[in-house]
Formats: sequence, C-alpha cells, structure tokens
Amino acid sequence: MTRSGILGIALLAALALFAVAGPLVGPDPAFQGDLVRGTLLHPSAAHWLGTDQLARDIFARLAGGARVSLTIGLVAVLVAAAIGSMIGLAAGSLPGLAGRMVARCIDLGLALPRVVVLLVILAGVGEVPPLVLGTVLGATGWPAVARLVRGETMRLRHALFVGAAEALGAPPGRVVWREIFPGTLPAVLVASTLGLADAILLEAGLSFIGVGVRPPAPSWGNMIFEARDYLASAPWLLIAPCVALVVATSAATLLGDALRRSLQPDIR
Amino acid sequence: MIRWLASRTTEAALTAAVAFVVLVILLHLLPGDPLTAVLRDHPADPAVVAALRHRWGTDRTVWQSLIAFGAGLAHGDLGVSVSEQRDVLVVISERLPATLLLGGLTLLIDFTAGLAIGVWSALHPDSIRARLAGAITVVGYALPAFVVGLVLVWIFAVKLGWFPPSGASDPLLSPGAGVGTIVADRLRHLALPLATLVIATLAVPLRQQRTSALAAAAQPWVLAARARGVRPGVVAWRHCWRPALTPIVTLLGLWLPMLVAGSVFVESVFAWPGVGLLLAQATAERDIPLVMATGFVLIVVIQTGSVLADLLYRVVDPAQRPA
Repeated sequence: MTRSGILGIALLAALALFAVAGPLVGPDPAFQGDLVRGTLLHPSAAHWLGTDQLARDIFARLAGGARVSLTIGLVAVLVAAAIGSMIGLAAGSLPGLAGRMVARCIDLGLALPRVVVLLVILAGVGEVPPLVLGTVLGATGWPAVARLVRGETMRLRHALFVGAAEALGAPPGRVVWREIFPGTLPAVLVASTLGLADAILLEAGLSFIGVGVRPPAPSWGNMIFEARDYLASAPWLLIAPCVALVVATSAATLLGDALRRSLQPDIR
Repeated sequence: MIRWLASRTTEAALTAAVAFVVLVILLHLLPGDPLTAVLRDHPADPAVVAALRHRWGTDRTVWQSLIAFGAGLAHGDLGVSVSEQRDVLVVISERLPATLLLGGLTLLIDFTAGLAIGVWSALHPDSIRARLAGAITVVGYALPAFVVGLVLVWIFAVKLGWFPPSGASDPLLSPGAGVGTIVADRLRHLALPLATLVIATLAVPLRQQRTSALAAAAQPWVLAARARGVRPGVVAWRHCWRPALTPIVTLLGLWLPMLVAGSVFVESVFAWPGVGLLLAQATAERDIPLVMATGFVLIVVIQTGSVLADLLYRVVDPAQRPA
C-alpha cells in the first residue's frame, strides 16, 4: 500500500470516528440556542465552528451530517456493487442470446443520465429516510459496476483454472460462482471505493438542490445550501461542510487509486 | 465507413428510444402531478381537477403520453409546460443556447488545457510542477461543482465584487446599450460559471491524458527520438501526444454525461438559465411534459456525443480503419 493509500484510509477512519463520536461529544445537532444573541456566532471555545442562522452548533451539525452522508454513501456503494456484480456476471457468463440481452440492459442503464433519473425519482417520492436515499443512489449506480464485472468475467472465462474446473466436470453455476466470481472482486472493490466518492458527492449535490436529505436533518449538502444566503456575513457556514465534503471524497479517491495500483498492477 | 456509421447511429437511436421509454415509465409510476403539487390539501371541485388534468395531458397513461410525444415530435409540438404555461419547445429553445455555450466552452478549455498539461507533466514526471499537476487531479476529482461555484462566488463576487454572483445578463441594462456593453456584460456573467465547470471537470481529461502520455513517453521511439537530437517540443508533439490521443477520444463520449450532471448543479448555483436548471425546476414542479422533453433532449445529446466519439476514435486510431 502506498503512502497516499494509507493517508486515504486514515482520513476515512477519522471521518468515521467523527461521525460516530462527534454527536456524543458535542451538543445535540437539533438543539436551538438563543435566537436573539446566539445566531451566526464566530467560531469560539463554546462553539468550535460557530453557530448558524438558527443558533444551532455547526460542529454538532457537521458530525450529524457526517453520519448521514457516510451512511448514504456506504449503502449506495453496497447496493450498486451487489446489483452490478450479479448483472455483470450474468452478462459475461450466460451463453448466447441471454448474455447479449443482459449486456444490452447494461448499455441501456449507462445511456440513462443518472442525475436525470435521480431528479425524477426523488422529486416524485418526496422526502425519504437516508437509508432509502442510499438505496436509490445505489440502484442508479449499478451499470458502471456491471460493465466492469462483465469485462472481468469475459477475461476470466478463458483463464486456465476455469478451463481446469470445467474439465474436472464442475457444473456451469459452480464455475461462475466459485471460480469466476472471486476473481472479479478486486475490480469491484476498486470501483466501489471510487464510487463512494461519487455517491457522497451526488448526495451532497442532490441535498444542495433540495431533493436529497431535507432540513432540518443535517447533511453536508443542505448545510452548504443554507450557507449560501450568509456568504457575506458568515462564511464559516460555508467553509466547514465544504472542507468535510472534500476531505471525504479525496480520501475515497486516494484509497481507490492505491487499491487499484496494488490489486490490479497490470491494468492502468 | 458509411455502413458502420449507419449501423452505429441506428443502435444509438434505439438505445436513446428505449432509455427514454424507461424514463417516461418511471415518471408515470411515481405519485404526484402538477396539480397535487399546487393543491396539496386544499379542497377542489373534482370535475375542474379532471378537466385541468385532461387539458394538460397529465391524466394520460404511459403509452398514451409516449404516443402523444412521438406524434408531437413529428410535427414539432411537445405540448404545454404546466408550470410555465407556455409551449415546451419554446421554453427549451430559450434555455438550450445558454447550456450549449457554457458546455461547449468548458469542453474546449478542458480538452485543450487538459491535453497540454497532461503531456507536459508526463514528459517531466519528476518535476515539482508535474507532482503539482498530480495533486490537482486528485483534489479536482474530489471537488464537487457546486462547492467550487460557491467558493468562487464568495471570493470573486462577495469579497472582491469583480463578477456578478448569478444570472446570465444584467436585467437593469438599458435596452439601448451598445453591442460592446452587452457583450461585456454577458462575458462578466459567464466568467464564474465557466471557471466553476472547468475546475470541476478538468481533472478527468487531465488525468487520462497524463496516464496515456506517461505510457507513450516510456516507449522506445521517444528515447530514440531524443537520442537523435529531436527538439523537446517536437518530441512532445509528434512522439508523445499523437499516440496518447486515442484514449482521450474514448473519454469524450463518457465525459458528456458528466457535463450534463455538472451543469444541473452549476446552473443551480448561478441561476444560469440553462437546461440543467430547467430540469431541476421542472422535476420539482412535477411538470411532466417539460420533464419528458428535457430528458429527451439530454438523452439525445448524450447518445449523439457517444456516436461522435466513436467516429473520432476511428479517425485518430489507424488500426480501426478498414484496410
């Protein structure tokens, strides 16, 4: 593992710790302070990152937002990896027409712009809990994973150990599940780590335009949205969630790149 | 070549059509139409509601609205936008130029600057500047467009006051202003959204170009050229850039969907009157005719881009040409 990969792991671990422990250490994210004297306070000892327009502590909201954003990102990645692996394996290993049909479905999934689909779905269903939002994000992110797994499956199908298993009389299902599937996992792991950055960004973007996590629940995206009205008077409202977001996505990208280099040295 | 282009275009048209059908089915499966968004809990005469639904075409089933859309497409009438109460085609044609301007300029800058910096940093892999370019790609990858946009607004519009924070033109500009004033005003409004979109998307071509140029720079013919005393600029242009061009062309097709996504967020930050903002507004208002038409335009644009990228790929890669 390279140094940048270790940095990525460390940053992600720190964020996870922040998400778990932050709300225990800091005040309640929903706690509303003094609306007369407590709004838009500068960072201080009492409020490490200041307070927002409703006198809520920004550190607490940032930690609460970390819980929401990281959970959504993780769920999205897991769902996309599960669906994408199954469909990719099917497209790569089903013989003849069936395999080609599944491959067509993947192309179709790739042809649908993800943001358009997400806007349509989320505006239609209205407010949803974070777990559902993560699932929806994952359900629109599978085609990229599926394309990758299909490619890996087609490559592995010609590997010597697969031929050996077939020669020993293993049934096709067993060959796919026990011989080919484990071989696709490194690629899925790399794609999922990089996909984590995408999912976190997408959640923040959707919350920013008002269809993701909706106030008063904190998310980095909707904190950034609320901060835009106070750019001139209270820029710290903008800086804190932006830094958190960029740290999270940079960490996932660094780790994903490092994993790619160590797991797939032959693929650039 | 012609035969290939015809079959590739047919394939893209079919993909676009099926993708559009899926989108419309999704749109009809989900609850809510413009009326429920407006009425909420207010009591209303069911006869009036039904009449309005019929007039706006929101009472149609999936297949009815697909057939109506197809027929409308044939004679240039895609219905009336419910939220704007105007022709859908008029609304979209007003918004399309702004998005094409922003997207086209971004594409141009991304691919020229991305290529140049990529090749240049690959030729000097150990220099500090090349490492800097590497660091920029990691951070640029992680920077979401709306964060870049807001930070730029904060610095250049709020703090320094150099550029306007939003919009595409000054509404207070007198109608009799000269061409020069109008152009200057438009450019001032364009600056921040364009910078935002470029910063948010540059990392992808830059990174791709860096990897492929690095691979090209390691080839024996580059060493041979250097040994022969070919000037560094010529080595970069003729021996590294040309073979590294092929992967970047493939990227062009994948990159358009990214631009579409980016434009939704960037246009929302800057209230830039383009198709991305229109889509966000239309979905929020459940304006089904407008969402259908906007989705259709975006799907067609992306498929067209993918065909063009494949075409370009065959042009730049001699191995793809028929013998």
